[in-house]
Amino acid sequence: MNRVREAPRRGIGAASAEESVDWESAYRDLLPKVYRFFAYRVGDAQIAEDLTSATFERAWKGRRRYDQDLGAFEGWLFGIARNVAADHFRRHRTWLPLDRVASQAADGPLEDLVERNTDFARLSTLLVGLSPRERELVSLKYGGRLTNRAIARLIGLSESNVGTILHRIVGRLRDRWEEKR
Amino acid sequence: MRDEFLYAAAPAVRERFADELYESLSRRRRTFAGLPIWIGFNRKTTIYALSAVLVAVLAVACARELFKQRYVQVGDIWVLEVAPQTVQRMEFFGRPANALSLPPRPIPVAEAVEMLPYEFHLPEWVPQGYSLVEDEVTPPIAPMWMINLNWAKERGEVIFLWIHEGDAEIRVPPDMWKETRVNGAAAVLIRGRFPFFPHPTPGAAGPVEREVRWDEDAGLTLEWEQGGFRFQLMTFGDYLAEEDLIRMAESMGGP
Repeated sequence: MNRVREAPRRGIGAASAEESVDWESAYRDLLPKVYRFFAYRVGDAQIAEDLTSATFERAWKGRRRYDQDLGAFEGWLFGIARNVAADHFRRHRTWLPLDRVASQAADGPLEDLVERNTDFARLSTLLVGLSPRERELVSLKYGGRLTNRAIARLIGLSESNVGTILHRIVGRLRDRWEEKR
Repeated sequence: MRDEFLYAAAPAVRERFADELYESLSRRRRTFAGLPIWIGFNRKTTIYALSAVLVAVLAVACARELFKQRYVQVGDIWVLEVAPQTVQRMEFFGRPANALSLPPRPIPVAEAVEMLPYEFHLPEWVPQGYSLVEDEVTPPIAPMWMINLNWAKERGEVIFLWIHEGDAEIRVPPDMWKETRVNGAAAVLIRGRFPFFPHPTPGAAGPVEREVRWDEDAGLTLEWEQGGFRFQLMTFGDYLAEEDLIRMAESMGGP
């Protein structure tokens, strides 16, 4: 059974009445986004899984602190994810060796996996060349699939500023991506 | 912006990882679901609350342990604070079966008072209705020079005076005594006492230990030192005010 695609009837989603968040659908919708955010952020599938686990566990523990009036649950969760990432980089100041990049195979048809992992490995080598700030923006946008507005709210920039920076980064990455083809 | 390659290159989430994380979170929920929701706290608050209770229990246990053996000095008197329920040791002075001498012959109170090696005056004031029991008493003899006198009322209320040489410690629970003064001398006023108990073999001598519980209603005891002797005024029930006992003691004259 695929937990990501098909939500079970009982488990974390069987929330109590006072919890306003539907954890079942939150988990289903946001797990892939958080995981990909970390994958882009650190460039390693195994570490991305560890950090994703840490994020959801922190969110689960602090779920009563979530105030829905202050913003969407997605923004709150990515705020936690950013903190988890910051903690990770504080503890591990070295970058990962390239041979670990995308070393973890995902489930699915073999051809897709090979192609996807190959693409991810190629992309990771390009992301290494970005500044931490640029890489975070790319991770939030293309890993987390957040809108520019959500990113702007999360990191304290204006929406147009986020758009401009991303446009510039994407241009550079695309050039190098095509060079590597 | 032609950024499709950035979306397309994203790795997929492993199903097994998703399942395991889901199970892990579900277990956490089951583990803590009952208690926090029931008492209205989240998990962290619950842990803090339980920790605080644990610390409080430990603190009380430590305090009780400390109170088991705490000495307090009041003038020349040593008070040993003990738990309300404790093992009490009593010394019994029996007469050996082969003793040749007879017990001392009782003598009149006035004669006994004359024998005392220290200055002693009968109290000039006693609570209303009490009078000295003029029966004969055991003569005071060395080394303790002990004397017992009683003042009684019609309905059986008694004030007991016991004077002896020595500096026996007072064993009393922490909140059952207070420091006071008798003619300027340090004194201890005690509410209640451990029950007396007989020797298991009547007439036998030697120490006997027994677990006893403090009886708060057993009466008052006022204890003070005078001229190297220990004075004790005692009641055996709740029929006399503390102030009356102190006033009676002060009317016996000070050091």
